[in-house]
Amino acid sequence: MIVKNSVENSVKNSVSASRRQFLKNAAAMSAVAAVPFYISGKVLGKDGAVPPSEQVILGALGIGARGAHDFGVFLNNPDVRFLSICDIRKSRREWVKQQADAKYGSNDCTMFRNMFDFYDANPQMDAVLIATGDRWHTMATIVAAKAGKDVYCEKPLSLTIQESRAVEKAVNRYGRVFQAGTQRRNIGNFQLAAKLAHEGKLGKLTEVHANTLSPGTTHDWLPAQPEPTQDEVDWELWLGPCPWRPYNASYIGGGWRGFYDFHGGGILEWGTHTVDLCQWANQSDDTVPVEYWATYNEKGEKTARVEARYANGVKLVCRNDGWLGLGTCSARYVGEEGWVETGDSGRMEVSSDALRKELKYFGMPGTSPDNHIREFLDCVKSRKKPASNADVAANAHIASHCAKIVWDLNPAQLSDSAKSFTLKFDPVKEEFIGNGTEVETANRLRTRAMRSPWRC
Amino acid sequence: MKHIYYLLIVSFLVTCSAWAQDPDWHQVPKDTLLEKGADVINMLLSTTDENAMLNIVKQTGTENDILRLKMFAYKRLGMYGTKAAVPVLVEKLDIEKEDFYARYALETIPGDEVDAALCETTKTVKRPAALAGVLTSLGVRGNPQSAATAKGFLKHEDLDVRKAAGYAYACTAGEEAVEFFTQKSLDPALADSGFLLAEIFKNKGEKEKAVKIYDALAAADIKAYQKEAALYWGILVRGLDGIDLLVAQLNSESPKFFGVGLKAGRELPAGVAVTKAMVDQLGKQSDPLRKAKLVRSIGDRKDKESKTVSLPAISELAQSGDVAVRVAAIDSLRNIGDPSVLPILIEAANQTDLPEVANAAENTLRNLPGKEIDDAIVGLLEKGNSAAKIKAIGLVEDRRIISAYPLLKKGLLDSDAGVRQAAIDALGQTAGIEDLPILLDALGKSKSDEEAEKILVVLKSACTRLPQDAASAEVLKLFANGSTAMKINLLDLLKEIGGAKAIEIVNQHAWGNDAELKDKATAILGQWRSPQDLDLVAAACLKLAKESKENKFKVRGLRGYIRLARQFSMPEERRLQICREVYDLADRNEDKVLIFDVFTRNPSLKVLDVTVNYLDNETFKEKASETAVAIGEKLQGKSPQTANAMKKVIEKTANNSVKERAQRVLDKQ
Repeated sequence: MIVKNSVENSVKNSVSASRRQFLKNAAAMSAVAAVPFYISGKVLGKDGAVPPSEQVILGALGIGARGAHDFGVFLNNPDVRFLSICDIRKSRREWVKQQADAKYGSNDCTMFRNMFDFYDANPQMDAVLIATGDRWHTMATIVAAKAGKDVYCEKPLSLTIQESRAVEKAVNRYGRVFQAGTQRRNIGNFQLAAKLAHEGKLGKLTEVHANTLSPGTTHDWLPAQPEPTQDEVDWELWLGPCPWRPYNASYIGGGWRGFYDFHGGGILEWGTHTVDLCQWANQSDDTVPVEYWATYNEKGEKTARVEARYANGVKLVCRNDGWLGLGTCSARYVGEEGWVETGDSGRMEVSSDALRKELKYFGMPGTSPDNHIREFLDCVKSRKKPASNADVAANAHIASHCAKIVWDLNPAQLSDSAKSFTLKFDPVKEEFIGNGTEVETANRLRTRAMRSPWRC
Repeated sequence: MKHIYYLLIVSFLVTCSAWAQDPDWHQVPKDTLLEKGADVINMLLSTTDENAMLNIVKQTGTENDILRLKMFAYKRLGMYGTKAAVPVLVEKLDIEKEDFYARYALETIPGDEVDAALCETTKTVKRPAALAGVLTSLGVRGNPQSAATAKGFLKHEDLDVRKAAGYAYACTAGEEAVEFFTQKSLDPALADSGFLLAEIFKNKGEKEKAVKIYDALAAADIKAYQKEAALYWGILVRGLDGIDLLVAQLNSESPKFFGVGLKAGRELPAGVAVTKAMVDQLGKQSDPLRKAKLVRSIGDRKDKESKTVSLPAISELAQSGDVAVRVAAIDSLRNIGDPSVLPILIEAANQTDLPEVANAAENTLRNLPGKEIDDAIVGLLEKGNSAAKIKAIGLVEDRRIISAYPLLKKGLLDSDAGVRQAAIDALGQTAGIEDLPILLDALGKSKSDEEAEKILVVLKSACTRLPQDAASAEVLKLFANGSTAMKINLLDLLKEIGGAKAIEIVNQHAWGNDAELKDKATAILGQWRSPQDLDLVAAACLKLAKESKENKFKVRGLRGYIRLARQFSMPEERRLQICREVYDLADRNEDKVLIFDVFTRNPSLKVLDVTVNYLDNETFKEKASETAVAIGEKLQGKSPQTANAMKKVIEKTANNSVKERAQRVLDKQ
């Protein structure tokens, strides 16, 4: 079941730099979630305290840099009660416990290394924040859903097409509420840009552009180093479902990015935000493009730009150059009568003075998860699907994976023997279609085995 | 020297090719293989020859160095392997560390031979983890012929094996598995597989089988949250036949099962029967928080067909009673309301003693479509009290009620300060170019810094929406008589407006005689944000860097100029040209060094070449080394330029960490 988020209402409620900002922030959220659910404890007659029935009991899994930011935002919501941390790193477990205990003036936050122990010990936990490295997002979400927890999971959710769909299936199979960390769906300038596309202000939509990074990844290993103790860093659990390789401290410190076994490369890194925005602008949340191709420069060298086409004829362009400089994770929507571009700075550029009249001033940076987390918490209580639910997130991820696969399989340099090719994709069967080695290989890359005992 | 290198490569590739064809080549000493590790990997990454891959896989041992090479071969077999690889791969399925890689290849190789071989292997694999892996692979492949094998392990003593068998059985057995997963004494560890099987039938449209399994799971001795899921799907798959089950959940004392009812009720198809059943339960909810949640669930159904059932009930709840329920009901009117609810909303919006209720009403008014709603809001603006006017002004703005815009301007003259401020806020979002003088005038007449700041925010908001040069021309008029503080504000405003006229005005002040304005204007040039003004702002910054007599402004110009190269989109040649100019113009090393940040952010082979030139510069060789390595790490593919750059870094840098990183990049070339 796909939830198509009409931006019409949400944009009307978006952030304005006025003294009514608070109200409008709340309204912007509620229009997406349609559930401004949090009512102050004062109104609920509990002397300012949120009644237990309205608290969201939260745990967290794998808290690094981005996770720490999310964690802080969760903690600042008055209806959140943080309970427990699970992390394979002792230092991170202790840091989270310190923050939570300081917040509540207690010593109650419990710490776990293994997620099964974490869930077994915390049956009262309603929801979990998952902010591990990308390699774990699919499996951790599936385990959480099987354990009956609602999930806020950072992106990218998956390393393959099949994993993307597996996240969606698990979330729906167990009736859980899920929000992917693609917070731009709850931020004013991105909502307004999508609205301009939806309402035909740009004319008939022809192209949607997603700011992505360099797609390449490597299979190689870093040199082996002595493993820390299991209590300090549980290397086996760090690897989890991924192929085994020897320990190197660099991976643990964030150096896992760029390795195929752990990371989807630059298209997944940002495309899970920006391809997602393009899917939304094109009103194709329930499908993905049907054709994908890599691009080459005049010297025949493969560029970082990948293009695709939806069944409705709109072209999707994933690129890392030529942006106006409106901030990271930019998106641009082009129609027959104009274009709009926006990014994490909150600023917007348009093609004409007529479109300029539609603009508003937005103060919230695209990196802020505040609205997105609030919406998730509301949905945990109402059992509604949030804006970045598993259905829409799965499709944005599948489109990004298709783009990565066509880039990986196309030759690095064109020559007499090496020709570029386009891959056609059937969004219903979720398979590349046609004949030839490239198509068969692309289909094989839709999935990867997981180490025992993990499975999607 | 170069010729010898090429000869070595060619000879190695010839050898590899020979190896690939030689059935006994794997008897080549492991040491020889390892010695040529990088070349073996290159060979594997460029070939689709299955024999070449198998020859590596056949090597014995799982030490890190040989496993690394095998890992590449296994992955390539996953992409290009055929049934010919199967006998070699299944032999590896009980070898620790290597069994996974064998499955990595086997899971994607097409053909029944793979499934048959995996089934056969279950008879011999000894380690439970390996056996669980093989069973998982059978499930992933989903061949019905594997069902009997999977069934044989459903009672295995090892939990992981049992779970894997359950998964494989659900994925392969079809109808035959229904009996197993509906048995009363189902092993709780296999409940997840029961859900999987039910889902398979649900997706195939075989509703009865799916319902049978969901019902059995709901009755089984499993965890409460699993029962929740079984009931949720039991309701959804039944559709209209699931209403009784839905009602039972909505009246359950358990908050979790109540939650199942909320979710299922929201997602069941539109129709009077479901909506009426939900509405009927409202009266049975004694806890206002539960009632509020049920109201929201009914509203979220957006079931306009059943409005005759839901609207009277929700409207009544919106008018009085518990605040949480009222807020929920008012919110829900956004989805199911019509002009008939307008009096309720207007009254609620004016309930200043209950801000949650008033805010909810304002929000619903903002979103409920219809000209009748517009007219009522305008009426409120014309005749309401101050509090009502403030709300109405916001609604006029949000709903874009153009006919009421003149009334917003009237609000600027209201005796109530709150109304005046609301009018200014609204004008910020609605003003046309003809209204800009009104806002600028308000800025000029502001009575405090705080007030000026507020108006400035509003002006910035307006200016993002107005034609750039026309807006700048209006701003320019105020420079004639404004105070210095005011002019500083205006310069800030011009930065927001952007465009040629704005730059022209700022530039004039950057070269003017007023020291305060000069300071502000030169700072603003270095912060210019409008990417479409690149050429103009670049020229202004460069002029400052070249011609300013004051060092402070010269540095500002330089830093503003290099910032453009760092942050704005432009052709590579232009970016490098800016870097060259900044390096040559700068007197201080702390300014020259900024070019390396530009290089790091914009990696390419050409940029790498330029960076390498600085490795011979004693002052910057360490910074250049670090930058070159950062670029090398970001560049895709292999190139002699990258290899040579890394060699030179290794030679020049004294920083061991940078040296190690350079070596790692070099190893991949």
